[in-house]
Amino acid sequence: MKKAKFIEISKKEKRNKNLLKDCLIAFLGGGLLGLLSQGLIDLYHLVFEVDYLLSFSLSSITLVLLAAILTSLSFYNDLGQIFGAGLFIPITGFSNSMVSASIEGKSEGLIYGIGTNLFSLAGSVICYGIGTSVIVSLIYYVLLLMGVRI
Amino acid sequence: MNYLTLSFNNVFIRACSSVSGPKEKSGPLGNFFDYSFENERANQKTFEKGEVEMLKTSLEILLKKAKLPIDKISLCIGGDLSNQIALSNLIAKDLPLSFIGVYSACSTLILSMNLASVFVSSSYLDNVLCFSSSNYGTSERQFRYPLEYGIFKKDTTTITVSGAASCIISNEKSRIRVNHSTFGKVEDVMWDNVSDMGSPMAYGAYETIKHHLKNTSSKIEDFDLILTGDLSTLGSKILKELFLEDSINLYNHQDAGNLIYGEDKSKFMGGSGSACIGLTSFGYIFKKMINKEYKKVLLVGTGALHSKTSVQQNNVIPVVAHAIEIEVVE
Repeated sequence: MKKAKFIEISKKEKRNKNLLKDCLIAFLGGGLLGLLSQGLIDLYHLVFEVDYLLSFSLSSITLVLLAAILTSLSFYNDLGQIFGAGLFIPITGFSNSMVSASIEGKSEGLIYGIGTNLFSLAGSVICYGIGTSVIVSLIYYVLLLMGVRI
Repeated sequence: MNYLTLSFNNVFIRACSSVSGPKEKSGPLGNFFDYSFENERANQKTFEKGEVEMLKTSLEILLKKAKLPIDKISLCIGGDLSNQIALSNLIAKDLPLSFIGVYSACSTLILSMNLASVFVSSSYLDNVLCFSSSNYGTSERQFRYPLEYGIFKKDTTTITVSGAASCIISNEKSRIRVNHSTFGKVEDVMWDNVSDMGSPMAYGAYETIKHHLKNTSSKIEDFDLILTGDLSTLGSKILKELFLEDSINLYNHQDAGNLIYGEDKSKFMGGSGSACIGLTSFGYIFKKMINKEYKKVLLVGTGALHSKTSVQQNNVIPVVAHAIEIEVVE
């Protein structure tokens, strides 16, 4: 049967030749982003003498802004094609998903375009991020009641 | 299995036109198109308006080239890739013609030409206008993600061609004659990978080409060129392997998606979209036919028939291919 033959041929062709290389570049990309983030923390804390915990938030906010600007200038998708999950998983990916969706929705106006589409990709992250944090907090609370100190 | 093939002897392609976007213009076939816009939006506010503008420009050029007043045309058949083929209807509302909107994904143009040939061959109508368009900006949001979304595109991805193609199918003799049309059957190869549309469509193309040859009692060698729509590099390879299984060497095959972007690595595995085969054949192949480089050509439009919703609900992606056989006459 020809259909079975097709499935056999297409399975044979279905492989990512560059899987290892792509993974390494993503690892490197994510690592560089982490390095940049640490640099920002040090910059805020050591140079500008911001409170140590606050400098973590400021570092994240700076990266979010940077990703938003790069997305608007149409650079982020090119970087995403190079570094893959290295830029996709961190908070910069979250920023990119919101900005890209709102740019896309601009042609449908403020309400149905930008407003509705803003969270079309990021919505899942928020939904399950908050959901997971509630579950983790509950587990933590129960452990505290049981007298476990973490 | 029944694949419908019809034969004609009085159907001709009177004129055709091809209008492209910038990335097609910078490709190897760039100089062959009738007109190219400098941006994907064709100087309009939205990609959708840009696609309509490209289509409008294509029709204007077509009518000029055909030297035919529009009241001599009886019917218009066409479609595009947008939801509910809305963009085609935005053009159709301005045409003083009865309109049949068709959708067959990237094989829409070939299906339109097949239908037009039936109307002309049966002597109901003298001239029928066919068109199709696609645009990178409108298709990405329709089938995939926002343009600026930084997701990693797999290497089997194809890039939607921006452009519009149109032609007039006529009963008046001209250089290019339509010999046969084969209407494809929608095939299921249990495919669900939206990042690789070329592979499943290769099976659709295989079935349609095979049935076309059988129904017209012809052989692969009878054709100077078999041009598929948008099988990608991988799909083309699979198509050849499928024919090799039947001990047939598909030496005269080329894929429009590969021709239009050449070896450009930023275009992944080539072009796709309903304008892909239109721009390549109307802009490039027809000129080669007129120059007698090709005599008999089989155009095979290939389409993957899915929507975002159907894929998210874990349905398979059915595929289809329609074929039209054309020949140069003196």
